[in-house]
Amino acid sequence: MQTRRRIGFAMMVFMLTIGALVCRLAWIQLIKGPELTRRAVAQWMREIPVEPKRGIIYDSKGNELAISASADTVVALPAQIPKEKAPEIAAELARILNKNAEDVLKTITQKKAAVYVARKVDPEVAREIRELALPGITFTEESRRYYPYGNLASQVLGFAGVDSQGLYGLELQYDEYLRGKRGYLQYPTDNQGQEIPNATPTYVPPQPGYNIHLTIDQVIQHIVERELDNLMVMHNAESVTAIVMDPNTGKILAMANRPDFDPNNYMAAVEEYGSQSVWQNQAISGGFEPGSTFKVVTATAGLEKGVVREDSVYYDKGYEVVAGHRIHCWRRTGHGQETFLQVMQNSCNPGFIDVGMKLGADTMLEYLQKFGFGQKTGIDLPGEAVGVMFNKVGPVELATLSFGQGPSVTPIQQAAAMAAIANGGKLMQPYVVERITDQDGNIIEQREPRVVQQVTSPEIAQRVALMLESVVAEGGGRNAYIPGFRVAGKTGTAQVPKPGGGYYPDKYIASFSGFAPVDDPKIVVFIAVHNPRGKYGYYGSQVAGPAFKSMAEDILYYLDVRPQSEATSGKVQAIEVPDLVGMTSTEALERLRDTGLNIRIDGQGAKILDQTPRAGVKVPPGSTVIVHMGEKPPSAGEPVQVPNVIGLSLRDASVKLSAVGLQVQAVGSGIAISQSPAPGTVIPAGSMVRVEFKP
Amino acid sequence: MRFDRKLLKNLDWQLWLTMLLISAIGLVVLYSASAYHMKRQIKWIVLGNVLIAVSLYFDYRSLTKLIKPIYAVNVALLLAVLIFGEEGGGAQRWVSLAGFQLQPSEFGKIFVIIAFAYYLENYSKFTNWKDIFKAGVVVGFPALLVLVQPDLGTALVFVAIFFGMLYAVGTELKFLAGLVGLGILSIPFMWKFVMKDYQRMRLLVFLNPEAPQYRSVGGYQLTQSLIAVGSGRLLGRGYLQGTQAGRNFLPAQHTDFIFSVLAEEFGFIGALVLIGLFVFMMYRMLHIALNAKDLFGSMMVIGVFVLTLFQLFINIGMTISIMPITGIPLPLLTSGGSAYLSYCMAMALVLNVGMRRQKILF
Repeated sequence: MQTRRRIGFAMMVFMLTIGALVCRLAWIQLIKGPELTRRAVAQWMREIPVEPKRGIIYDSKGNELAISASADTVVALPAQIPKEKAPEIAAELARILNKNAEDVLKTITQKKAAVYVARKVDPEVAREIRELALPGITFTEESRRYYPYGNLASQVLGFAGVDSQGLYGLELQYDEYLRGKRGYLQYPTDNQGQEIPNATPTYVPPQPGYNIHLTIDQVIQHIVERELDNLMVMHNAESVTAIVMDPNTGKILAMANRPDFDPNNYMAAVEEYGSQSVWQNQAISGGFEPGSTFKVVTATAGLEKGVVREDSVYYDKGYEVVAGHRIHCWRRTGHGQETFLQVMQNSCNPGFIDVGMKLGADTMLEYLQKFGFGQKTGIDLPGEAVGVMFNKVGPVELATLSFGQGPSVTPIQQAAAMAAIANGGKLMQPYVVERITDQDGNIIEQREPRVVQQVTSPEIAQRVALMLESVVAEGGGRNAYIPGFRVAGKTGTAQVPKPGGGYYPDKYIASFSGFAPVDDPKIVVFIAVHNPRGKYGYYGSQVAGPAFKSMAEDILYYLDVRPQSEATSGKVQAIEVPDLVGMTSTEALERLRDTGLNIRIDGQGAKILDQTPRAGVKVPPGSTVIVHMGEKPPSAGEPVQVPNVIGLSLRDASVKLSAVGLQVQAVGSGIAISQSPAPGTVIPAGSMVRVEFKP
Repeated sequence: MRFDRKLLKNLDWQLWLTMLLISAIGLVVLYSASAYHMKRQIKWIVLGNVLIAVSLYFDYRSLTKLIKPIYAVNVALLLAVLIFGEEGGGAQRWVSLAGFQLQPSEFGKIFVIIAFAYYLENYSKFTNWKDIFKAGVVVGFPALLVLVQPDLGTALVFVAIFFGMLYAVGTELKFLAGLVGLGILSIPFMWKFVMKDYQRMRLLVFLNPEAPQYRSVGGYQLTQSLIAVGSGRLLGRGYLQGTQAGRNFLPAQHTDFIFSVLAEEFGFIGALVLIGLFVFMMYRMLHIALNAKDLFGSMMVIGVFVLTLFQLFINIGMTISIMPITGIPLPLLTSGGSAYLSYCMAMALVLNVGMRRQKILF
């Protein structure tokens, strides 16, 4: 039969057919199986994400600077909302949530598995919605970020957005750690998106984020921010920045800027200032010309290379001529003959130009690089700037560089550079996060101090430190002196370059960079005040020096650093107040600056009528002398208006009265509480005004 | 005519039991897909196998005397579909007969196998194209009636049967090659003039089931089938644990896509077992065909063999996207009376031919 002969080919067709099916099945089920299974699950699994609790940010003492509290988020599951009931449900939700009903309806009828109706609502709102038990409306817990100290360290902490995602500052830098892992509630549905009855939902709990522990101390931060607020008010400044650092480790103990913002409501500041730049941490991202604080670099290089010694003599005629350019000292008349120590004390620019020229451009640049300028410090905060270095250093650039004009550097670079002098020549990498722990307190990461490089030898660092101590003890840094402590530091007054070249005639950055105690430094403090426009001047010594003193004093006491009896205070002679009467305010200002005293100008007028304290009185360096301005007192008999002296001390009251030619008859002591005749009354000059004082 | 009990010794029990086993597997899978259809299917299985048993009393040779009535009934039923037919899946496929929904094209396949086997026994030597053409008419006329329902898939089953039986009977290869050539040449013509839009679309779906334009013509169906089959992986998701069918993501799960349900719940292993059982059945059929006492019997079994293999390949191939979507049932598993009973008729023929393979000597 024919059939038998044809069996071979038929079998082949048969095998091929079956083989094709089996191969294809193996491909679909064994190779593509896992992927298709995922697609299957994706079809019938509905997931409600459960946000993890974001980690806590602690200060170095365990105070909570940023915490997460859980808040309910209203979620709609559109497939489970009956079509005909949707408008009604939307109306209810809109009423409670204070939203537009149409928008809500649009939201809850989207073709999606789950949609947010309202994120992180208040507990009362959540309760009210829960009580209504609306079909297809459910809740998920999300965490809401809260910063208990408000503005404190706002630019350092940054903030997290509505999705608990870090957006700025530490919240951004350590987002990966803080964020945690999202969990979810999973439940199966059929092809209509309806929940399968009796099916058990799976709950995969979220993994809470890690906690981070800062080097920042909340108390020190408070002290610093208090002083920054004072600086802003007293000097009517544009902005201020301060960094407190432990020079031995690079730990940042405090870092703050003004203006600042409240991370609990981070948009408010943007509305107030009209820019998001208020969120930026100027302490690491703001670059400006350093000015005289930079002379530390030149001095270190000069001492190490041996081109100068503390007792090397230099004659300052008020300027130095470099490549045909005359570069002036801040004091146009010059400082005359001075030792290098005095050059430093006087912050004499030509003296530093001389050292810079002797060092040469290569060496200067080498030291800049060693001190960490022109590179990021690598601090664990986002948005750090590099600063701007010269790309080509000619003689003029070298000259200005040697006293801090030209390059742009960041506050954190300056603080780190000063720390290198304080700690014996080591450039430490600054950092703000000390430790990362999990929920149970297990350490995930522990930061150790890192030496970037040895900038100079401990001996040279020590010599520079002593020079800087003399700046505070005897030189331009006297306002920074803290009784009982050995303080080293350098003031800086930098001009602000104009975009087109040259400098603004009236814009300055007053800065102070210092450390204490000199023999065992605990803190480095850097302060920069941008564009001080107050009546107390714009010099670093006038503006930043006193702020340093106030900060550092409180911080040292807080850190339990005791005043040393044998401290420089012994060497510091009380200063005799010069006689200022008859001078103009400018003359008095110069005179007082030379002696290391502050001035406070009171009243109107061309000449100084009187001063407090009087000439010859010995006061500690940095004290403030009040000068009373006015015209010559009217002669007796002329009608004069009685000024208001209520609230003044006896001395101030008598100064004020005598300025208009009246005499005081004091009763009691303390503060003036009443006067007779009353203020505003017109009486003849030479008359007696009775003032009653009470302590 | 008395039934000789000795014939039962020759009955291919293995084949029948395998068929019953596949039917049982069908019920098990059907229960997962649709309990309602499973209960109906039990009736068809009982009825169909009783009919097989009864048919064994009659010698299949007696069919040779009924060829003309069988052919006439077939044509009449297929015409009835065109005239009184009811819509189903975009085509007229059903007629109501004595309260039953009947799908004549299913029975038509069996009637054609019987008629064509008879034709081959009497005109087995094809020496010219005229003979081939005459043979073509025997199968082609009912096939044409099916094609215009329109039911392209079933019509192709007729073509497969025709070609398979022609080949098996030993037709010269030049004629077969000519037929293949003719078939290929007719494809563009069919595509352009015979096929309807939805048919063309359905033929293309499997090439890219997820393309949006195919979604409504089977793309969604096919995607879901692939997901179901694929998520079964090696061992399956477990009986009644299938989610794609169980949660109604998979349409037509109790009819043309019953295999997807099996593959999802019992995995690659389960699918292999089913295919293996079919392979065994077909092996037994070949055995019977080769040992049949006459060409009529042999050709009928070959026809059933081709029918089984073709439908198995097209149906499973469709669920795993190597064949276009056509409404061809999976033998014994797809729920429905017409499909099951017609296949029982086919099995009755095979068992009968096998049982009566020898001339009775005493």
